[in-house]
Amino acid sequence: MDLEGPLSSDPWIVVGALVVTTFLIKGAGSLVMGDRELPAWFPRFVEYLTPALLAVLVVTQLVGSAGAHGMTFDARIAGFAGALVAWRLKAPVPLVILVAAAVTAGVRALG
Amino acid sequence: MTGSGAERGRPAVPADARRAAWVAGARAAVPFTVAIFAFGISFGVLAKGAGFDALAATSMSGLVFVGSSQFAAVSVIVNGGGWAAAAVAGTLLNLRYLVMGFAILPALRGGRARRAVESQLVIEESWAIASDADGRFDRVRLLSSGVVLWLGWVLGTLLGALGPFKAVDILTYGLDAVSPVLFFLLLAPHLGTARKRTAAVTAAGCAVLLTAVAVPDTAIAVACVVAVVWTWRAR
Repeated sequence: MDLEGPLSSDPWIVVGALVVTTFLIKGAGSLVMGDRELPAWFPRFVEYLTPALLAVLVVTQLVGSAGAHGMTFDARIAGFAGALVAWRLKAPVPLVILVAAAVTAGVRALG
Repeated sequence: MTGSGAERGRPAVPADARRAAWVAGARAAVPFTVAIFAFGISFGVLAKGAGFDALAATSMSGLVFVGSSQFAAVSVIVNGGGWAAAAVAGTLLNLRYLVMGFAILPALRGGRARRAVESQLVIEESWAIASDADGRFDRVRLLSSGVVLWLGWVLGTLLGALGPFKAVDILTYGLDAVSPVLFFLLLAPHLGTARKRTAAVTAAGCAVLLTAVAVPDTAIAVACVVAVVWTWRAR
C-alpha cells in the first residue's frame, strides 16, 4: 500500500471493514437475542419510534445538505409544499412524487 | 413450520395474503427505488473517483446496502483520510440500524443466522414499508421491498462505476425533493393518535435544531429518546 495522496487506502480494506461492521450492527438483534422474547414494552416503543424516526428523516432530507453545515432552505421547500397539496387532494403517490420533483426543478430553474 | 418468533406474533397467513404482501411491498418500493437508483449512480461515480474499481464499488453496495454510510466512507477517502477513518465514519452512520434491527426482530423467522441475514435488507425505506401502525412489522413486505430497493442500489452503483457519467444531475431534475416527500408519505399512516403526532412533532423539532447546529446525524438518537419518553408516558 503506497502512502501518498488521497488514494492511498486500499478500497477492498474499506469495503471489508464496513461489510463486517454493517453485518454485525444490522444483525445485532438476532445475534444478541437468539430465541429470547423482547420485553413487553418493546412494541409500544416501536409504535412511537416509527413516527419519530420518520419525522426526523423528513426534516433532515428537507433542510439538511451533504455539502454544507447548518440548514439549507432551497427549492426543495417549494417542491415539498407542492407535494403536500397534491397529497391533500388525494393524488396517487407517483403524481405526488412528480409534483415534488417538477416544482423543485421549476423553482430552481427560475431562481 | 418450526415454531419461532414469527408464529407467536401473528397467526398463520394464507398463501393469497402472502402473495398480496409480496406485491404490496415491491410496489411500494418502486418510487423509492427510482430515487435510490439515481443515488446509486452518483455513488458509483464518487467511488470510481476515489480509486474503487467497479467490482469493489458494486460489492460494497451489495453487501453494505446503506447509502449514507457508503457515501461517508468513500468521502473520507476522497478527502485524503485512511481506511480506518473511512470505516469508522461509515460505521457510525450505521448505528441507527441497531434500533431498527431490534424493532423488526419479532417479525423475522428461522434460526439466529437466517434472521441476521434477513435483517441485512433493512434500510429506512424497507423498514417503513414493512411497518404497520400498531408497531408490528410484516416480514414479507420487508423482504420484497428490500430486494427491489437492493437491486436499484446495486445496479445504479454498477452503472455509475462503469458508465461515462459525471454524476446524475439530481439538482436539475429536482430529485433531491423526492426523498423528504417519500418519507412524509411513509410517516402519514403513523400519525393516527395524538400521542404519535406529538412524538413526531417533537422529534421533527429536535431535528430542525440539530440540523441548524450542523449535527443532523445525532437526530436519529434523539428520535430514540423521544420514543423512550413517550413509551414511558403511555404506561
